[in-house]
Amino acid sequence: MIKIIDLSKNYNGLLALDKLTLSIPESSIFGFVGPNGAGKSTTLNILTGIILPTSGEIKILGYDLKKKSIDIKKRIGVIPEILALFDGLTGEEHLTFVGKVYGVKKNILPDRIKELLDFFDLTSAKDRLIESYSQGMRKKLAFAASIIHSPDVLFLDEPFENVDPISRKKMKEVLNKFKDKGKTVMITSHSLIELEDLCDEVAIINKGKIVFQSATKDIRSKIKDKITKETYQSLEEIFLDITKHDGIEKVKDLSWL
Amino acid sequence: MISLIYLYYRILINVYKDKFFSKNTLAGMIILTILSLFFISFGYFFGYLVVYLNYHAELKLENLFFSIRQSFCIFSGVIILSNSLSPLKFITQLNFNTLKPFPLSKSSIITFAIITGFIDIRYLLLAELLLSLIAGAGGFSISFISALILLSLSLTLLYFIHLVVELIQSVIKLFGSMPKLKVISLLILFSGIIYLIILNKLTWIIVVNNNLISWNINSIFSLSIFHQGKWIYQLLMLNIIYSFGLFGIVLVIKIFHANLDSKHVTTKLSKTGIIRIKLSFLISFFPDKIKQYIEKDIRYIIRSNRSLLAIFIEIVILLFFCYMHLVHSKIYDHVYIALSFVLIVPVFFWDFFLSNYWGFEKKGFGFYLFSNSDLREAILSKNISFILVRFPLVIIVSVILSFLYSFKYLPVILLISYLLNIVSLMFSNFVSIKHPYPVDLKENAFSQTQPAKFSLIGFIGLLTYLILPVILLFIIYKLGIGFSFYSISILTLFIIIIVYIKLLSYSASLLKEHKEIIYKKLIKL
Repeated sequence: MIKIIDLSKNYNGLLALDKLTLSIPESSIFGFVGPNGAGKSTTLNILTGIILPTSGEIKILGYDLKKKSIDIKKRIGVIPEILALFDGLTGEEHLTFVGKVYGVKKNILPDRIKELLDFFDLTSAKDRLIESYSQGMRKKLAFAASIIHSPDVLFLDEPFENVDPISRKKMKEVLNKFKDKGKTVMITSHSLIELEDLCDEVAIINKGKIVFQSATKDIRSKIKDKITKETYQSLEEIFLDITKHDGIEKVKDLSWL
Repeated sequence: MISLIYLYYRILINVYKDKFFSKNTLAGMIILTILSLFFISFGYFFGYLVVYLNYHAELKLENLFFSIRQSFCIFSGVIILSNSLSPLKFITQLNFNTLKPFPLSKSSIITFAIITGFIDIRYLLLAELLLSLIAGAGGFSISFISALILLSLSLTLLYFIHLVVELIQSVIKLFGSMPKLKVISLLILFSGIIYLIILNKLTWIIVVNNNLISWNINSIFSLSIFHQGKWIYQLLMLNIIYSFGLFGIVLVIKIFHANLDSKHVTTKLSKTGIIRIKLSFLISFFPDKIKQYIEKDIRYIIRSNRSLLAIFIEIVILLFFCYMHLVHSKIYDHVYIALSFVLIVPVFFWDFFLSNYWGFEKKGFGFYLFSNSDLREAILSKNISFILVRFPLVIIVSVILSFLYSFKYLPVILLISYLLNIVSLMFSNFVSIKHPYPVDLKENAFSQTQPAKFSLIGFIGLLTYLILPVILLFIIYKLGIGFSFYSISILTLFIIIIVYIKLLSYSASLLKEHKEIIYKKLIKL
């Protein structure tokens, strides 16, 4: 469903992605985890056509992204890092606009918008300008906008950040339903724990390279084989170890604390 | 306790020593002294003009350059004097580092110019004279009472202007969240009109010494205007009464603002605060694939303070034009066409300015990149929505101008308006791609968040924009309004539309090429 081969991105001499290769099958939820500045959002921005890669090949839904970008864009849903909401529209107007751009039929659209607003508890705020929305409300609206046209592939950049637990649960239910219908979801996150109960597979990216990839259920066993430590208490520790996040022990130097 | 005393001591030294006893202060004071001398000469010059014009009627505005120079002098004087006479600004002006050519906000200056402009030009000259003299009044041996009256008059006038500006700004802030906006707008409009009517009814008679050679600064104060009429006291009282009234309104609005701010965000922009626009009929004439973009762009235009203010200013200019025509057409009939041209040019210029800065929706721009949006359609719909929103205003302007002159000009004015609109959009599409500017609903046209950059394309566009109507007016002048003129104009319109269509596709490919740079710039802003 999604194939990435030797993808690189260079920002004025800074290598944000270094020959990234990845394959995500259909009917799956794929987690893309990494610390800040690791290259998660850059990857997602390239896959969704927001920015251009320096080199590499991308295939989504069997199409080449370079040649058939409009065909791909019709069939994907996106929550980018900046959410890309139109602050000057109301929540309902935004969903209407997005639905119309994606070609959702006129007779279906109003009901679909109503259902989405109800589902994400945004009905009472539907007539307010988006600029007055809280971070969590914006995220929920962006999520609703990304699924309004029932896409085949979903790209979600940190979708659960700032979202309350109830809404987070609802979003996860929607994603599982998507997967059950044979669709593909790619999610980025800072937290491996956040994705553990949702994703079928995760990859950890650090400094533009994939440093670890595994089916979620096999993460612990895979780590055990690979690294000599006997056990890992939590996924957080695994994540820190894989991304070689040294510097935490320097807390000892802050002796005055 | 010692620490506290030391703290106060340091504050005194730091704040006052640097501010009042530094070389910069000295430099500032010298400049102010020179400026004061300049004001006095300025006042003297205008006093001379007032007298001279009254005795040489044949010179009255017949010479266009003379009147342009006069207008320029008046406007410069208004700016300089507004600067120096504002009590708060005066203190900061003492320091060389803070000495700025335009410390007052542009909105204050423009409001001042508009308000004084509503008065007859002769009154403006007189007001100029009075204000100019205040700056140097202390240095001359005039009576204390005269100086006090003049000072009060100028200060109350300035305070009045300050309050008007404050009021306008307060009202602008309420756009989008104030349900009773119409009531307040009407209130301002009516109070302004009543003020002008009262002002117009005052007797402004100038009786002067006809011996110009013996005329000097002291003789200004011996003019009978200070002794005969009661107008100066009436004006003073009017300013004071109005200032009190406006202060009350501003206070109420500010309290309202404070209440709004203290309320929870959910009630701040509640359902009633949003201007609900039903656009389905308006956009039903357009192809399906661009309807949704047009709908969104129109909503943005109507909700943006920048564009609302631009439309508001166009209406003010139009009212000014009508006022000048209806009240003073007998006086200015010789230069009337030239004057009306000068007055209408800014309207079209503003069109250019507005569309030139027609930006992209900050974060919303990202949607165009990841969705299946066609960038050509996005630009086209932006242009169409601009023309649609401006449509009623262009009709109003055209009808009023035709009413004032002759209805045979109506199609000409409409044709020129739309020719210019298309030219403006053609160039602004490029400028907005080369120098991306974010759409900000709260930002007004007088306070840009980023400085404007020079754009060669924009400059060429501006030249085309200004030259085109001049050529068409020249054709009218030579050929009259007839078959030849309409043939040339329609052919020009046809060519411009073809060029526009070609350039639209080019600007869409340019936008595609620059989309990553624009996106990064926009999300940083």
